[in-house]
Amino acid sequence: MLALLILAPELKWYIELALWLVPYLVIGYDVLLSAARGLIHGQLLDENFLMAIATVGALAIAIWGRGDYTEAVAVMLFYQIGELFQSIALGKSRKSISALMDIRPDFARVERGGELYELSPDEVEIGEIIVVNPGERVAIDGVIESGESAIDSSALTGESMPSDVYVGDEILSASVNLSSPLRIRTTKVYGESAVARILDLVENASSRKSKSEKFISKFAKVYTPAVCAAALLLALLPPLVLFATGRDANVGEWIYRALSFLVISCPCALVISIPMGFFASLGGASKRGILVKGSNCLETLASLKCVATDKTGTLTCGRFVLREVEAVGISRELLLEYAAHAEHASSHPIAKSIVSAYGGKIDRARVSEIREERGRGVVATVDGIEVRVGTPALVGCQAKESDGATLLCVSVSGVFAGYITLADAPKENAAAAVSALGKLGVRTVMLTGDREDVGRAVAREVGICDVRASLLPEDKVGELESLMESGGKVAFVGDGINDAPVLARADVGIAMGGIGSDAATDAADVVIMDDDISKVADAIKLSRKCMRIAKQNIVFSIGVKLACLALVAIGVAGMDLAIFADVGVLVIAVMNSMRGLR
Amino acid sequence: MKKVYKIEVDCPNCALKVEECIKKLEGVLDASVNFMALKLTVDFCDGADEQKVMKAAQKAAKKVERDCVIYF
Repeated sequence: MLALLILAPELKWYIELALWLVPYLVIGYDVLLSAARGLIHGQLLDENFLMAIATVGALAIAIWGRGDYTEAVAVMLFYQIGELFQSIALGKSRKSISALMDIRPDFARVERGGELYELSPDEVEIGEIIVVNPGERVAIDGVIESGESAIDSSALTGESMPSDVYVGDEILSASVNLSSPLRIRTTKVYGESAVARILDLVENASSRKSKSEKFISKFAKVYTPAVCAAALLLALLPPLVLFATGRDANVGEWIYRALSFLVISCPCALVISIPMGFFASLGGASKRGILVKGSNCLETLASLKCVATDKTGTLTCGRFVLREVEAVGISRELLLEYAAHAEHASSHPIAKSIVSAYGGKIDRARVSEIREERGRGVVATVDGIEVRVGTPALVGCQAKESDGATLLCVSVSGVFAGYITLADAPKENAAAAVSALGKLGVRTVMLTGDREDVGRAVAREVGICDVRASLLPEDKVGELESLMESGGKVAFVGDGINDAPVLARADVGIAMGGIGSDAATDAADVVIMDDDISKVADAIKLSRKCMRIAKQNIVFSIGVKLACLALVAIGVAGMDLAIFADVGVLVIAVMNSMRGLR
Repeated sequence: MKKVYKIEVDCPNCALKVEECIKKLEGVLDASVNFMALKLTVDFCDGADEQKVMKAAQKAAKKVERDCVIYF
C-alpha cells in the first residue's frame, strides 16, 4: 500500500487520504477512542484528546494544502512507540524497586500436634513452633528452639555477611535461613514482627510527599492549560497581525505550529520522574538497612546542618567494660566477688557489667539482704557481712579522678575496700562516622544524660567538640530546640527507647537499631536497622543524591520542553521534535530517576 | 480513618487527576495516589460510608481514565 502511495503520486487527493487513513487508524485507533471518551466526559486537557487534535489537525492541513500526509501518521506512530517505551521503563523500574521490598513471607510452617502445616503467617499465635528450612525466609520473630544455622539478615541490616545463630538466640523475621533447618518458638504475632513493620514503613513511605513533588503537582495543573492557551494564541494572533499588516497570513503554517504545541503539552515526564526518583531512593536506602518514612524526610535529611546524638548505645556500645580494679586491704578477686554478689540482682547496666566482669558463678545463698539505693548504689549482706557498692557518698569515702570513666566505691563491713572503674567504650566506627558527617558539612553535637567528664571523654575519642551533659530527657528536648533555633535543620540520633520525645521533636528523628520497638518506629522519621552509626552519613548522602536527581529532572524536563516550544513557535522545528519533547524526555528522566536505587 | 487501596492507573498525569477528583468527593478528608506503588490512600471524614465514598471514587476515576480500577 505504501509502495502504491509512493509510486503513484498522481492519485486523487481523497484516494490518497483514504489510503493514509488506514495506517493512521490502525496505529492510533485507541488514542482516538480515548479522546472521544474524554470529550464526552469533558476531559479536554486529556493527553489522548490533545494527541488526537494534533494529528487530525495535521491531516486536515495536509488535505487543505494538498500536502504531506506522512506527518500525522509518523507523529501517531512515534507517540505510540514512546508510550510503549514509557510503559516498559515504568514496569521495569517498578519491578526492580519492589523486588527490594519483596520480603513478605508467603507462609509459615507451623508445628501443631507433631504435624507440619503451611499457614498464612497471620494465623500463627505467640509461642508456637515454626520450622524454617534452608533457603526460606523467617516469617515471624522468635527464639531458636532447636537447630543451628547461618542466617542472612541483609533485608534487615543491609549487611550481607551471614551470621551464625544457635539455640536460644533471638531471630528476627525477614532473615533468610541459609544452612540447616531451624525450629523457632514465636515471640510475636506476624503483625508485630520485624518484617511486617518494615513492609508497613516502606509501603507507606512515598505517600508522604516532598515539597518537590507538591511543586510538580501544582506545576502540572497549570502547565497543560497554559501550553494549550499559548497554542490557541499562536494559531490566531500571528495570522491576524500578518493579515492586518497586509502580508501573507499563512494560516496553515501557524495552525501547524499550534498543533505541535499541543503535542508538548503533557507534563507526564515531570509528573512521573520526580516521585519515581524519591521512590527509587527510598528503595535504595532500605536496601542499605536505612528505612526512611517518607519522601519529605529525604528532603529534610538532605538539608541537615546539625546532628545531635545521644551517647550511650548510639556513639558507645552501651556495655560497660571493666577498666580498673583498685583493691585496698583485700585481694582484687575478693573485691570483685563481693561486688558481683551484692549487685547480682540489679538490672542496672553497671551491675550487669560487674557480674560479667567477675565471671565466676554467683551463689545466691550467700546473699541475704539487698537494698538498692536509687542513683547511689547497692547495700547488701554477703556471707553475713555488709557490702556497699556505689557512689563515694554511699560508701563514705573520697572520690578519685576517674578520667571520664564511671567510678564505683566498695566497702566491706564498713571498711573502705577499693575502687572499681567501668567505662562504656565508643563504637569502633563512631569516630569515622563523625568525621564523615563533618565532611558533608554537618556538625555533630552530643546530648547526654551522663556526667560532663564522662561525656567529654567519649566526645574526645570520637571527635565531637560540642557536648551538652547532665541532661534529663526533658532537658534534651530543650537543648534540641535551642539548636533548631540557631538555624538549619537538626536531626537527633538515639536508640528510640528512652528518647522518643526528642526523636519526635527533631526535624528528622533517627532511631538506631530499633525495628523491634514500637516507640522507635512511631517517633522516628528514619530507622537504621542495625546500630551502625556510620549509616547516618550514608542516609544524608543518599538523600542529597535523591535531591540532585530531582533537580536535574525538573530542570531538564522543563528546560527541554520550553526550548522545544520556542523552536516550534519560530518554525525551526516541527512535530517530530515535539514528540521527542513529550515521550523522549520522559524516558530519559525516568532512567535518571532509577539512579536513586544504586 | 485512613485506608489504602490498590489502584490501576496507566499514566502518571492521570493518577494526579484521579487524586484531585477523589480529594473533592464528599466524605473524603484527603487522598493521595502513589503512582509508583499503585496505591490509593484515602483519609475518610468521621462517619463517612466507606463503600459509598469508594463507589463514587471509582466513578470519578473512570471519568479520568477509562481503564482505571480501584480495588475496594
